Amino acid sequence: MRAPRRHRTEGFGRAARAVGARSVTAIGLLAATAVTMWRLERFRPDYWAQLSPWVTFVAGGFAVLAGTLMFAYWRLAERSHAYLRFGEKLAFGDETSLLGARGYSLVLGRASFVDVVDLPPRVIHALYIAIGLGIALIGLDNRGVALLREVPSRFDRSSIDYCKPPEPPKPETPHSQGCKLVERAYKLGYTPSLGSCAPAEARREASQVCTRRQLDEPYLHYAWRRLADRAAELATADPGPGGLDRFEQQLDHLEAIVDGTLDTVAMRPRSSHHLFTNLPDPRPGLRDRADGLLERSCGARLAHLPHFPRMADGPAGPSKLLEHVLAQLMFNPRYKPIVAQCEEVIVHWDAPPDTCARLAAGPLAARGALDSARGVLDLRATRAETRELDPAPARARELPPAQRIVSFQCLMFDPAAEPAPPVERTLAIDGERLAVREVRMRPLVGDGGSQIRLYKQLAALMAPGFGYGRLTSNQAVGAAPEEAALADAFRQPAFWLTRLDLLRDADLFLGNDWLARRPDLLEVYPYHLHLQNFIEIFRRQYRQHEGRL
Amino acid sequence: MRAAALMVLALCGVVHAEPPPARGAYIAELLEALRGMDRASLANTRKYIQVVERNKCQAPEMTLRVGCLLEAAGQNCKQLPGDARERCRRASDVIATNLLAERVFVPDDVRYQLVTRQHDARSAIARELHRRRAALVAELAMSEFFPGPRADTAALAAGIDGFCTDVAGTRDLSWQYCVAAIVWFVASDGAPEEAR
Repeated sequence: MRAPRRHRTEGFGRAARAVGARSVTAIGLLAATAVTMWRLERFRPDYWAQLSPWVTFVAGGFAVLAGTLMFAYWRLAERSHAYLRFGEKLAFGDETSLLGARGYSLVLGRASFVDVVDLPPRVIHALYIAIGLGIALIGLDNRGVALLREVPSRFDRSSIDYCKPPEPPKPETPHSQGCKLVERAYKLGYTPSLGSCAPAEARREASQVCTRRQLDEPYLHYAWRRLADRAAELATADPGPGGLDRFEQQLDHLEAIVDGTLDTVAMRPRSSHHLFTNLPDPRPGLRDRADGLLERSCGARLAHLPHFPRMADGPAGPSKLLEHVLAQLMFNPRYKPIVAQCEEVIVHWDAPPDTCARLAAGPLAARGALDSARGVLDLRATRAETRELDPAPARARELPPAQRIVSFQCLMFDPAAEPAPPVERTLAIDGERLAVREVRMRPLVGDGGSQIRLYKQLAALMAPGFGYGRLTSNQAVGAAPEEAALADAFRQPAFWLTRLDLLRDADLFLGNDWLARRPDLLEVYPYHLHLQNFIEIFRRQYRQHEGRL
Repeated sequence: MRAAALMVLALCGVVHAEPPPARGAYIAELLEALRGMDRASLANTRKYIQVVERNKCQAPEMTLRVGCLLEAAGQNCKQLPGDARERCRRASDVIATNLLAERVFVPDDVRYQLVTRQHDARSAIARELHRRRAALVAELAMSEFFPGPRADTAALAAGIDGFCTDVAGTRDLSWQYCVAAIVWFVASDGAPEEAR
C-alpha cells in the first residue's frame, strides 16, 4: 500500500520510502518458521513419507483458520503505521535508529509523511496461512494426531472412572457325585469343612468398597464426596507427619525442590560419562560445533547409521570412525536396551595421552569434564534431599550410586600398544570415589579389522567385565566349519548367492581374519546378524555398571 | 557335526576354481538365466529344490542346510548339457537363496498369524512373500539406483547391486536375499507364485 499522493510531495520534494512493519513481520515470521522446520527436520522426504494424511489435513485446517483469524483480528489488511527503512534518520519525526554505520542506518519509525510500501493484503493473508501451516507441522506429528483422535473416547464413559455394575449372581453349578459325598460327610460331622465343594456364595471374598463414581451418581455429588474425603484424609491423624508439618518440611527444603523442578524442566543431563582420546576433533569447524550444540536428540539420525562404514580418508577418518562406533554401541535406538543419551556421553578429543593417569593423580587435570560431573553429582544430591520429603515409600527408593552416573574413560591410540585389558584407577570428587579406566590400542587403519578391534576395545572399556565369545555369538557352535574350509568355499564362483549364507557362521568379532583379505565378501557381509548381537550383549553388560539418574 | 559340515562343503565345491564374478555381471547373468529358461524347466527346478529343502535338507544348522542345498542343486543341473546347465545353476542359485530367505521375509510371528487366521496357510504365506518382494522392488524403482524402465539388463543389474548393498548396509536384510528376491520378481514380471 502506498501513502496518499499529498504525503509524498508535501514540502519535501520526494518523500522517503519505507517497508511496512506488517509486511516485514510477516516475512520474518515465515522465515523463522521455515528455519525452525528445517532445524526439526520437517523438510526431510522420509519424514513426509511416513506422515499420516491426517496430519496434513489437520495442519491445513489449522493453518487456514489461524491464518485467517490473525489476518482479520490483527487488521493486517490495513496499511502499516510503523515502518522500517535504510537511510539517514530524519531530523524530525518519530524515528529510531536501530543499526547504523557511516550515517546510514536501519530506521524504525512512524512518521506519517513517509511513503510506506506494504505487501498486498492477499499476499499477507497467504503468508500468515503459511506460517500457521508451518507451526502446525512443527507441533503436530502422527502421534499428536492419534492422541487428538483419542480425545472423544477419553471423555467417554468408561469403567475406569465409574464403579462397575454389580455382577449378576452366577447360576448354581450342579455338584458332582464326589461333592455329594463330601456334603454328606460334612453333615454327619466327618469333615470340618466342605472345601472346594462349598457353595460359590460362601467362597466369594468380600469385595472392596468401590469409592469411584457410581453409575447413577450426579457429578456434583461425586465432586463433593471427593472433596470431603480429601478433607477427612488431611484431618485424620496418621503415624506420619501431618499436612502442615509436611508443608513446613517442604519450606525448609524449598531450594532443593525448586532446583529439582528446574532441573527436570530444563532436562539437565542425568549422567556424565567422559571418554578422552588423543584423536583429533573430527568437527573443528564452528558450524559443525554449533550444529552439535543445537542437536537435542540424536535418536532419529542415528537410527539410520550404516552398519559398517569404510573409514573416511584424511586425518579426521579415525575420529569419525570412533564417533560411529560409539554411537552404535551406546545410542543407536535400533538396538535394545537403550542405555545412554547422546548429550550425556562426552568425547574429549585431542586429550594428552596420559590424561587418565593425571586424572587419577588430581582431578584438576580435566576441569571441563569435572564441571559437568559435579553438575550431575549435585543433581543427585538434590534428588536425594527431595526424595526424603516424599511420604510414599516407593518414591523414596535408593538413588543409583555416583559411580554409575559419572565415569571417566581413556581410549588412547599408540603405535607401540599391545592388546591388554583396561587399566583401572580411581578418582575422588566431592568425597565420591569414581572409576577411571584406560585402554591403549594401535592406531586405526582403513581395513575392516581395525573397526572390529575398535568395537571390542571400546566395549571392554565402557562396560567392565564385557566378554564376547563363541557361546554368545550368533555363529553356530556345533557345525561351524573351519575358517580355511569356509574361505575355500568362496573360491568357487557357482551358486554365489546361496554360498553367501555361509557367512552367518563367520562372525568377524570372533576372528575369521581370512575375511579381511576378501573385500568382495566384506561388501556383502551380513553385518546386521553379528553386530546387533554384539551391541546388545554389550548394552546388557553396560547397564549393570553404568546408567542414569 | 563339524566333520559333516566340512564334508558337505568339500562335496559342494565345484571343480573349476575361477575368481568370483563381479557382482553386477553375476546379477545380470542371473536375470538372463531366469528369463532364458522355459517355464516348465524353471517350475521343475523350483519344485525340486523346494522339496529337497523341505525334506532332505532340513537341519538345525544353517551351514548344513546350505551345504545340502548346494549339493542337491548342483546334482540336479549336472545332467544338463552346456548352456542349459549354466542357466540351471544360476536359476537354482536364485531359487535356493529365496527359499533360505523365506523366514526373513515372513518371520515366524507373521507366519503364526497367517497360519491361525487363514484356512489355506501355505497360499497365504506365499501371498505375503510375494507382497513383501513386491514392496522391495517398488522401493528399488523409487530409489536413486533404478536406471529407468528402458534400461538394459546390465544397467538394471548394477542398479539392483547398488540398491541391495545400500539395504544390506543399513537394514536387517542380507545382500543376497535382497538380490534374489528382486531378480526373481523382475525376471518373472511380478507374476505371483500360482501363475508361474
